[in-house]
Amino acid sequence: MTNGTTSAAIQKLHFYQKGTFTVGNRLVSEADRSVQASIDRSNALTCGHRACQGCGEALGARYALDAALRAAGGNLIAVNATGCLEVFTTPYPETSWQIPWIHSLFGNAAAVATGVAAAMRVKGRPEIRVVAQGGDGGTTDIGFGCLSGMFERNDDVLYICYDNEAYMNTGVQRSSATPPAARTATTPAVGPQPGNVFGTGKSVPKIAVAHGIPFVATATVADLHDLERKVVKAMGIHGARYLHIHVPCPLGWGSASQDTIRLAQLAVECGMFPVFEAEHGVVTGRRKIRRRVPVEDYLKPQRRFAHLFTTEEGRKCISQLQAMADRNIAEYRLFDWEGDVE
Amino acid sequence: MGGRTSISVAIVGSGGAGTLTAGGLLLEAANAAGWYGILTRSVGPQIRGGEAAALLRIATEPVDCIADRYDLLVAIDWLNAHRFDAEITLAPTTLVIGDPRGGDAPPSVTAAMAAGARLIDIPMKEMAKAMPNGRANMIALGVTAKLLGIDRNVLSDLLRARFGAKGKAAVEANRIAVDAGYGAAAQIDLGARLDKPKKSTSKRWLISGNEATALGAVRGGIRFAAAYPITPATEILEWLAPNLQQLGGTLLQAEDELASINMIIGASFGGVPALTATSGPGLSLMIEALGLATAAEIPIVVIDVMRGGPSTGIPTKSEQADLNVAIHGLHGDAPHLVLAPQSVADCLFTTQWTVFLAEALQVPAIVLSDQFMGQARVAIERPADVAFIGRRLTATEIAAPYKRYALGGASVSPIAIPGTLGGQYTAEGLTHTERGVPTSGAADHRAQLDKRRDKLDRFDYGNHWATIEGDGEIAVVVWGSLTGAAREAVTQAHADGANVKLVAPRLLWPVRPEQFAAALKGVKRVLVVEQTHSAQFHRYLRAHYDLPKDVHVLHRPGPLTIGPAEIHRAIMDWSS
Repeated sequence: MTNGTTSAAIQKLHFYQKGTFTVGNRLVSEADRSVQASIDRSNALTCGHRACQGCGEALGARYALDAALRAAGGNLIAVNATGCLEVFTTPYPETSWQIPWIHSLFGNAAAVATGVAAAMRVKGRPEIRVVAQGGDGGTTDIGFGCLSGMFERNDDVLYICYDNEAYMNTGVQRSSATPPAARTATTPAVGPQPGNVFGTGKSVPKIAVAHGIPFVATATVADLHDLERKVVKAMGIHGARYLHIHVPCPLGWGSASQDTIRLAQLAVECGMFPVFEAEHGVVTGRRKIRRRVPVEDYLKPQRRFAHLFTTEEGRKCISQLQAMADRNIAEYRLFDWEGDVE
Repeated sequence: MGGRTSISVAIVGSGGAGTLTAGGLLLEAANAAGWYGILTRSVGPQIRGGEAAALLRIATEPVDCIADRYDLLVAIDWLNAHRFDAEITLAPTTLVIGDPRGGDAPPSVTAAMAAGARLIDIPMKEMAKAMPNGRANMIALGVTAKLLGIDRNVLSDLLRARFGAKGKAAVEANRIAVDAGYGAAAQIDLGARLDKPKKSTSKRWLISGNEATALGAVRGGIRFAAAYPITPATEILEWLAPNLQQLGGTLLQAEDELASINMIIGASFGGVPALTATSGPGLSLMIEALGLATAAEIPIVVIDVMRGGPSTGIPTKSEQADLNVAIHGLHGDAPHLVLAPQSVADCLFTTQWTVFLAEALQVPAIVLSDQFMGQARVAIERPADVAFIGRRLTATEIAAPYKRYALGGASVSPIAIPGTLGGQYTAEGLTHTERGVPTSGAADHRAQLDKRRDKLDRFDYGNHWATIEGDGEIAVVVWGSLTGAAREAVTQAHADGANVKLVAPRLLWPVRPEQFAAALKGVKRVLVVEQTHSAQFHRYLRAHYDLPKDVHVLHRPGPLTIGPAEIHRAIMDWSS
């Protein structure tokens, strides 16, 4: 027996996300497998970046941009708003970007991307595709106006928001994507309702759906295969598209580096982060919760919620957060056995 | 051999090595031992994994600037040290402490060694590894403290206070590491000795410029702040968030700079003195609203903690290049106030005075702080209390019809706070009549432009408009955070027998031509010092003031600060 026949006979085991579970490659069909392990994978974002250990955004951006680059046949231009991703991928004297890339200002990546797409149209190069990306601050706060304009005109841009739920790059200040009760540098855990306010919330994916654009989806780094699939689907469509990726931040959330994937998964399973997709204003798909958990399981490993577990006021906040998650579950029909868990 | 009045130390390392923690503790220890000092930092924009340097100057008197050269450089590692090579100038007398395991020393160090500087190896990383929970930065702290002559007990007390909450084990681990540093430095001679601290009975403060700015704001009467996070101004809102709440005020974090400035316009219209803090890019976004506040005569305060620009520029480092936009950036003829604090401690006074002026004159005011002052931490004497508290002229008993924008008198017309009986009016950014009714008539336009100009021009700003010190035929004209360095240079020049005057305007806009002319009386030569690429301050002086024929300009963009020795050299080269 030669070595060659041995290696051909033994298939190396790779692990993939399948729904909310991790499975080995023997359980996944060839078509369903992630290409990240393959040597001919595309490389939009490579080594040399300076993200923190366990950064969900670095992981999400690499999968999203690689998938987009493949789908565009290598013809991709990226526009990047100011934020963690922009800072940690371009530390002097290195850059981890292997594609044409422009750093816009904080609040206007969508507008700059619209301009790039228009230039490609003027030059008669519609095969060159444009991705704009930003964090939750650059998307849901300061960049919201430009984003809505890009949606409404149906500009040919895929906008990706990496949502780590606060301004992490400037030292963890709240954004409009910060969950209620979370402690940040500007929402200290003091007073009768400690941490961030219980506002009405601001679901930018839902707002994108209301614009009636061709494709809107949410995704999470707990399910990279689903994330890749959504990027590929978005790249197959022309017009305005929006992808909102939930990316845990160990630094800002006060969680352990190795818990990033687990937290992303718990956010889905407790109902705090609904994973769904919509086309032309209609929700067409949702990721059902298989193993529903109470929000406490999600909140507990994060120091930004630690104050909720020590006081009576905090307990009240937890039940309010549970009510929020329950509303998500009911609204998006994420769970088939309502009332199965308390 | 006599001791020195100040010693400068740089502690460098890669991001996460703990240089800034060590620097902070060193300043606190020096303060506890009776010295004064300043700590500033040089960091890259990275969130982690970049480079960090704690730049300190420990002194027998309060100091407002860092030195041109360093007496001691302690490198926890050399991994990214070449990135601030240019910011840390070494001399042949510099003592360099490095870790042989910490990578190769950068060219600046090898060059200094060739000129005579000593490099002593201390294996800090290895020593730290041999201790339970040992940290190399705490060893570096011990080494530095020993070389400066800080008593070991002072540091022990400090460690207990700092790490006590983390438990006995944490205090003990840090104490062992610091002690190891003292041990490692026992046989090393720094080559310079700091004079014993002077006895001081007054209460000391350890405060940063951004904290001082925020404190000045609330002392001046600010009770509402709206802001959007931006480096290096964010500490102002982080300080205000809990403190305004305790004072019965509120801080709102807005969704962008457009919202934050318009929120404070709304709050001020509603009768609550209001402020926002930002940096250059944010100020640019706020300009349109500053026009509204000028036209509608709504007092607001905008703090601009300047950083390297344009665009995202160098967010973590200092420059003075927002002067043009602050003064000339507004559309239309829009008289407003621009002020600049002159030191960390002066951030308190200037901000408090600015709140007072804005409220008194019903006008938007911009305070030009910068990253150097904003993020520097100093050990100083407790600043004197200041009496300036913002009070606006309000209309209470109104004889109909109420004229919000009434002409005549001191040109400051009483504001009716919404809800005042008979005080209804339209606050208006359109050109308006005395009653606030929109008009496009030439006479009304002219009359209201005159009113807004006159109320600023006729106001008595007193002596605070500028710092004027010394006498002589040469004047150093400077502004903002470079004032401290210029003052030291002037003092040194006096010691060398040259008579030099220091002129540093705190009120930059509106200009004070008569007072400036008086300040320059008898001056034959002017040295302008500023941190810009295009000599913005010099152009501003040329445009608005009469300068003598002989003018030199020492200017340079950030982030390389201009130190006292460099200014002194410029004076002496010229006076000889």
